[in-house]
Amino acid sequence: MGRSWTFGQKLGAGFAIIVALALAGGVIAILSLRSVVEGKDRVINSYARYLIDAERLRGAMDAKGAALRGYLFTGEERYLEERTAARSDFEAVLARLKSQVGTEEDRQLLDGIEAAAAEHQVASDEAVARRRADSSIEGAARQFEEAVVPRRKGIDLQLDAFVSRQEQLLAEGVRVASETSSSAIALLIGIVAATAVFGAGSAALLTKTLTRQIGSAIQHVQSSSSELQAAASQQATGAREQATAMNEITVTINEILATSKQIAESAQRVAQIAGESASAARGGDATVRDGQDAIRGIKQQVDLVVGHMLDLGRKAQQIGGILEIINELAEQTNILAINATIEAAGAGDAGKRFAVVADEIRKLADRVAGSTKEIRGLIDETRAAVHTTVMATETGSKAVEAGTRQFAEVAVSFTQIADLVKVTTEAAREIELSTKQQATAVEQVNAAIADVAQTTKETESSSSQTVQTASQLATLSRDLSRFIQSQVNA
Amino acid sequence: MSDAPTDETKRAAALREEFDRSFASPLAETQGEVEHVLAIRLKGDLYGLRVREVDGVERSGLIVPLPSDSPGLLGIVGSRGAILPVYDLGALLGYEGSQQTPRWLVLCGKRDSLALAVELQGYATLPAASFYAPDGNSRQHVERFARIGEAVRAIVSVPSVIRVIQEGLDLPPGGPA
Repeated sequence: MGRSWTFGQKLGAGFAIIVALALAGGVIAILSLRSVVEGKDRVINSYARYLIDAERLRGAMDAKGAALRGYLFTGEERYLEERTAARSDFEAVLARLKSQVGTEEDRQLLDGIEAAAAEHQVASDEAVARRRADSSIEGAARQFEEAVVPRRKGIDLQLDAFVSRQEQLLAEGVRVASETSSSAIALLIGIVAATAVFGAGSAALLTKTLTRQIGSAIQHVQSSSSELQAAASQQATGAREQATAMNEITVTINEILATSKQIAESAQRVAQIAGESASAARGGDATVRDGQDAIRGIKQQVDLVVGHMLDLGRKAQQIGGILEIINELAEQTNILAINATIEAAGAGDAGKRFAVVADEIRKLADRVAGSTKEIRGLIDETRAAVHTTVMATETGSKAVEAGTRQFAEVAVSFTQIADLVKVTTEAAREIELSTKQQATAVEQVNAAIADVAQTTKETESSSSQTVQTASQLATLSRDLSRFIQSQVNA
Repeated sequence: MSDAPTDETKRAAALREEFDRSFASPLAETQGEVEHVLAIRLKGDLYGLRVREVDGVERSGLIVPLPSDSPGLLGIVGSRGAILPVYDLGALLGYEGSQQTPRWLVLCGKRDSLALAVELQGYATLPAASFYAPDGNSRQHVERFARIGEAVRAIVSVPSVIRVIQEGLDLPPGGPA
């Protein structure tokens, strides 16, 4: 348990014990002094006062005797008054003594004094009465010498006995007080000696214990100071690296700031362009509506062209039918010409002229067939062209219809574009505002980073100071260790 | 409309001029030195028939098929008030028969008239010198070749075809007894 006490606890415990011993010595000294003072007070307040009061009784008795003698010699009444006053003082002092004394023997002595005083009063009253009855001074003097003086001596004897008794008690009280003081002095010497011995032991024990603990603590301080020095060095290195990083961050933030400003300018331009786009979109909407009207006109014309083309196709088909008739006629003519030629050949010389005519007819039929073939080709080409034209026109018509729908969609799209451009304008303005706020925030961050860089520099300086302090602490701990070792060795 | 003559107008004028000239020219003196030929096609091959060996040409009408084992006989057809047997000339020349019947009939055989089904392509008048004999193996009934235009055609002998048909029918030459 004692090993786990702290340095302050041990010192506190040692000083607490010493203070407790000192308090005990003080208490004992106070009690002893109080006992001595009580003895002194008892000697002074009781016995010495009793002696004084005894002397007061004696003085009051002397005053009473003097007043009595004055009356007896002069007969003046004022001496009787003085005698009465002295008697009253005597009785008051005697009553106080009787109330204060604590022993039966003292009370008996005071009773003897009171009885002697009563006898003296009686003798004194007889002397006064005789002086009044016989006004001679000699009778009064005799009466005084015979009756009063012996009574007065009896009082003095009683007072002497009381005084002797009190002087004896006073000597006894002084002796008891002296013994009490001696005992208190011896007890105080013992307590002081015990306190000194305990203090020396506690000091030795604390020195030993604290030397061991402080030595261990110094070792810890040395190792901690070494670790602190290493940590402070590392912190200083880190602070330098952090300062470098802060510089790089500052450069980067400046670039970000420049970029933010560029973004804000770009957003402003975007907003401007978006506004122009909105105007263009509105113009485009009107153009699209005009285009829709034009496309409707084109569609009507295309429908007319399709109708004419279909008529042309039907006419070409009719021409083809007529051409079939012509071709059939030409073929039949050709057959007839061939047969005529055959018949002419069978007729011999008589058929030669007919053969010539038949051959001419056949040639004409061949030419007609060739022409009809060409016409058929042309008609086929015409019909194909009409068909192609109709198909193309129908395709164009469908394309026009699709274009009409697409124009409607384009019109809707233009409206949507106008709305979106409006939204884009607002967004660009928000971006511009946000970017400006961002630039402001970045500037604040830059300022904060400058503060951090300054703090980092201060940290680096502080770390260097910590390294120096750790070095000084290590030196101090080594000095303290040497000091403790030298103390222990000493 | 432009008044400039078109190609068709020029052609019509040329035809008119040629037609008129034919009346102005004398009859040809070389009639005996020419040969009139019908240009036909059989199963995709080009052939020719001498006009003087046929009796007429007509378009094929309704051919009524007949049950017969005679090779190439397609059936009978009515022509000029008579009923004529119709033979597929391609089958007679050794081609395999086809589902499609030729559109033209060549009448021949005089008294023993019959019709040969062919695809008629045209009519040509050739100098006699245009004909030449085959120099190697050729199909049956082909005895001459002639160049008509850019193509060389085999000239089928109609009498040879008629003779084979008649032999196949076991008829004596000159008709049934």
